[in-house]
Amino acid sequence: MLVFKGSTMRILSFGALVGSLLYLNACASSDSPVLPPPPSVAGTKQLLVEPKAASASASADTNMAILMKKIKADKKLLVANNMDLTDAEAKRFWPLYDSYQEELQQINHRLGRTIMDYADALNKGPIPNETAEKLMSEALDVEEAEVNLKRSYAQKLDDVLPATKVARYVQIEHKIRAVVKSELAQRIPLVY
Amino acid sequence: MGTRVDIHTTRQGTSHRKALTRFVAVVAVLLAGSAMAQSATDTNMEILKQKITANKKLLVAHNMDLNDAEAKQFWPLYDSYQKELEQLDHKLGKTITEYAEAFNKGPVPNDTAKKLMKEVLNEEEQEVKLKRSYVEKLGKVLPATKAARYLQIENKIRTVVKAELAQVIPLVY
Repeated sequence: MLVFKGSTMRILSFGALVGSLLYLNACASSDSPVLPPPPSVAGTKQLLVEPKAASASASADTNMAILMKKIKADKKLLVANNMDLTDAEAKRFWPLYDSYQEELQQINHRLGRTIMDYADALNKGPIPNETAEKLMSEALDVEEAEVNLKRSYAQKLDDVLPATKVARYVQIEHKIRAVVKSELAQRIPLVY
Repeated sequence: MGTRVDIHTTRQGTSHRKALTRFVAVVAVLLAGSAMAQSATDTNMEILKQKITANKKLLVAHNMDLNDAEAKQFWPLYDSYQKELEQLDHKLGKTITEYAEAFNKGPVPNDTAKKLMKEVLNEEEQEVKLKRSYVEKLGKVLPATKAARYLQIENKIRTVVKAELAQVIPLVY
């Protein structure tokens, strides 16, 4: 087994936590998508949102906004702790970081909408082929957009940081997003 | 927040659902190991890989509910997709090995970091393209819900593998 010697990973303890929190973030919206339990559990139609949850949604929104702010701040601190930037590098890195986060958030929104559409369709019973086709194509578009975005920022960062630091930042983002993606994939039910 | 739904919906009931969960966890650990395997354990690794390949196929078969006509058209596409995925995995494995070597020599030089990062980005791009091309092919031989379901199964497996890899590979310094 090939191993990496004495790798110091300050990020590791954080990775899983941030991952699951970002997962919440990806699903968060004023009308949170709720994936229904498997039909095999109960033949009866499931309600999308329980009445109790619906009435509490206003205060949940505020909590969600607070949680999202905290996640953003935690992530930024995590990146800062791992990047070891000089003052000159920091001055050029953080504006790029912020605009990358904004673009990632737009991608998350698209993904969240697609998941919500899927949850809605799933709650109505067997999914029509055209809906499946539309959702699948959206999911692929989002994936492609994310890869393209990553490449474009890798290039932008390359102009302002040494390549090892660019690569390290890409790794940090990747560690976080890989966990989020995996969480999402495990929780979203197969289409029938 | 959403109700937490464990894995996926299946008409076959809980046994297959559990099977997929367990399988995904096992594959992730094994593939993460396999990507970094050294020659001493090559034979065992080869046997293990064959077993994983067979397990995966059975898992897909169980979850796809294909009729005979669909099966006849689906499996050849499945096999060629697996081959292309394997080639991608090889490239990725090579990149990881190169990184491990560079990493073990001390601080990674900038040009090495640049080269490796470029390779990883290329591989990622190729995987998305490959996926799209097979979605189109599958769309011609299967109803869209089944094509989407197959894609979901692959996605469940690969996202776990990717997450495992991302967690075990150290940051570059």
